[in-house]
Amino acid sequence: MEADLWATLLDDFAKHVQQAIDQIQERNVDDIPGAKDELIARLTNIMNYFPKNEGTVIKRIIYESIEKHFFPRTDEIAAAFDQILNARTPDQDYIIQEALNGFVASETNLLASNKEGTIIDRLVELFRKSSNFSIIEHQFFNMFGNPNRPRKFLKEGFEKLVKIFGLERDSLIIEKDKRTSQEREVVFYRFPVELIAILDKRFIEVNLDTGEIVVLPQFDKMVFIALFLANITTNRLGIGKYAINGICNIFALIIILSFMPSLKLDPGNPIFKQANFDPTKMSVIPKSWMMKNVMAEIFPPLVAIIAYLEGGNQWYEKIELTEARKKIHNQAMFLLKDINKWVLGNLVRVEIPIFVEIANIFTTVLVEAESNPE
Amino acid sequence: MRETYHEIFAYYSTYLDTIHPTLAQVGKILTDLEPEYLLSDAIIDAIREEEEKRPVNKVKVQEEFATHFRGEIFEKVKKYAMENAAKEDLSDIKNDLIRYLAEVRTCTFHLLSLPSIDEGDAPDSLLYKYVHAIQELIFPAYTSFERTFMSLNENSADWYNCQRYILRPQTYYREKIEEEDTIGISPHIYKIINSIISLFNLDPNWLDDPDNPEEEIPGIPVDDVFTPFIDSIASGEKENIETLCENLEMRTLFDKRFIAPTRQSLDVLSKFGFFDKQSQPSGKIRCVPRLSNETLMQVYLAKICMRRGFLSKELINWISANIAFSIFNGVTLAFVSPENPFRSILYDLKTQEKIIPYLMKLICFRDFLRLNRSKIRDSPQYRKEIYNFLGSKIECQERLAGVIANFILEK
Repeated sequence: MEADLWATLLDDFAKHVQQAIDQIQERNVDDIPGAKDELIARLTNIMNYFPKNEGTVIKRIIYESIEKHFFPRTDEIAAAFDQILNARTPDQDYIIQEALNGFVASETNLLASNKEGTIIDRLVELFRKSSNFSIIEHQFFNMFGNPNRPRKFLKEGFEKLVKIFGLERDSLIIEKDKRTSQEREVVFYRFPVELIAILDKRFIEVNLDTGEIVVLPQFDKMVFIALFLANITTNRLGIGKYAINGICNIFALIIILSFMPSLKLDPGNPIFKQANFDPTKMSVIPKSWMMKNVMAEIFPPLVAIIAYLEGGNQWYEKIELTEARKKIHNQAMFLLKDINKWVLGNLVRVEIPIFVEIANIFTTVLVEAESNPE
Repeated sequence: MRETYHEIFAYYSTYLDTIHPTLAQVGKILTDLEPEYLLSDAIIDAIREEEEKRPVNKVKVQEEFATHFRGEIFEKVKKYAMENAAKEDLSDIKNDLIRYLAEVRTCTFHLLSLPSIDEGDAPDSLLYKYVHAIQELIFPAYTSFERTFMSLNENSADWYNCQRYILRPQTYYREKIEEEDTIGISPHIYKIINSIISLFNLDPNWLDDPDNPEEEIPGIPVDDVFTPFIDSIASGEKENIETLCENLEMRTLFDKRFIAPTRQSLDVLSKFGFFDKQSQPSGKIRCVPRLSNETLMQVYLAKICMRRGFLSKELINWISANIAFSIFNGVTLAFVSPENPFRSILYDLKTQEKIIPYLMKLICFRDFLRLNRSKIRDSPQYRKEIYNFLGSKIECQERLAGVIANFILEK
């Protein structure tokens, strides 16, 4: 049954890529000479080689690249956290941040508000200023009002934040509170103990004699976001529908972007005079694939494939198949804009490691297939 | 009530006038102290308590702050001495501490000397130079749209992230937005702007320009822009679309079904290559969009720069707080070395909230940012929110602080 579903997903994808090619043949918006042909050639290769050997190419891309950088397949949070932290580059940080802010943030109402960025920054600030790398519940409430009488939504929001980041709760009983002269429980939150060793020397410094932890200036919000990703990858079957759709969308966009061929430009092209275009780090790619009717063909089946590979049937069943899906796919058009950006009307891909890696996997498979036609 | 320059200057100086002599006083105490006493908590605490018995300020809140500030310095002295006693000679530790205190004193003295005492002398002040150095990069003050856009575009390669950052307030509070007030860019509006850029570059419709029958201008359906976000466009959304278009130098045409650039936008952006005028076989000129990620954000920012008297409270607070923090951090960066143990006292919320709100107000005056200073919020809750956020490590602010620090060090 599962093998049938996988085969159907691959066939479905190939069929939609063919339809996308037909759409581009009919009408494309690329004005760079050769862009249309390059795009069609690349899509044809994808259509031909994707379904081969039970989808080896896409499996390798997901398992060897996407998972390595963003979503390690492991049950151990420490291993996942370490792997995500090691894959950090400034541009990749941006992808992870957008994955969080764009979609996954809606896991909690508090994070999904306009304060989404702010709250993570505040948590970072609290940890940074904390005396022993832990935050007291009280301090968090203090940022938003009266710490002794926090509002209900703040309490709920904070609980969700703790859950989403997988922070550990601990408490301390104070026999006589200075203010009320009564016994009081002080609740504080900290990183899971097994992650401290990973952070040591890079983001924090642990004094082995006193057990004191000093937060280094390198400690930033990406550490939190890596924790968040590590937390959901190790509990991947327990996450909500919205997060699943969000993660699969971002990964699908990364894969499509990696597949796009780099175009050769005339040296006189005005883009070379633009200060924000660096030909050593960026490539101009075709833009017709971003047209609504082309995206509508290739995006949904790819999202379904990713969902199936990452979370099996449980994720696949949660992929949006309604009108809401169209909205989400339309939104993909303006995601990741700092690495899939417009420069003087041209679509430019910033060549970050993951794009290069995925493109290399695809090229290797093509070369292998061409040298062994059978 | 609108406060005068003199009043705000006085508020600004009040706490710096407390900090500066306290630093000198502790420096003197350390100079006279035998190095071996540095490790005696009892002696250090006794000296501190003795100092606290001599209140200098008559105003309770100022005296409380002075006590807190002095207490923090003494705590840092004890901690530094204890941590380094095993590695360094006590007399070296003492000299280091005196040197570090002198650094912080120089820093606070510089902060104190930033604004001029009289508003009339403001153009000769250091604050004027610092504000204008930052303003030129991210918030230029020119009277024409073209000149403002040109300035932003020239600085785009190095400063686009900062330009974008000050457009997007990260704080939020409910306020009744006046009709004429321009608001900052929310995460939602940011996505909408990105989608407008993409749709123009990808597949625009070609419309006859109502102002110039010889030209064809690009237009994108309003529905295409907004339907990824909203189910249907009702009158409320229509009003917002109009406002957003106006801020992006766009307009709606043909029964408000299409979004198209205004004549001013076409004329100005064409000069920078963002619209390419191409002749058509029909004899008409077609304005083909060649927008960059930055283009519409810079158009929005240019409009804000020119409408600086009519910005929402949230945006005014955000812009002035960012620039004030950059100046404060820049001065700290220039004078206080990274290993200085007293550095954290300057970054403490309790210290910053005594200085930065007034710096924010001072830089709103007409010789500086020309923002409506009566909209700078005084509520402690809001301050707490904005400063907690701005205290975080933010790359844009670090870069702007670097500009000020270089400015000081190059002199």
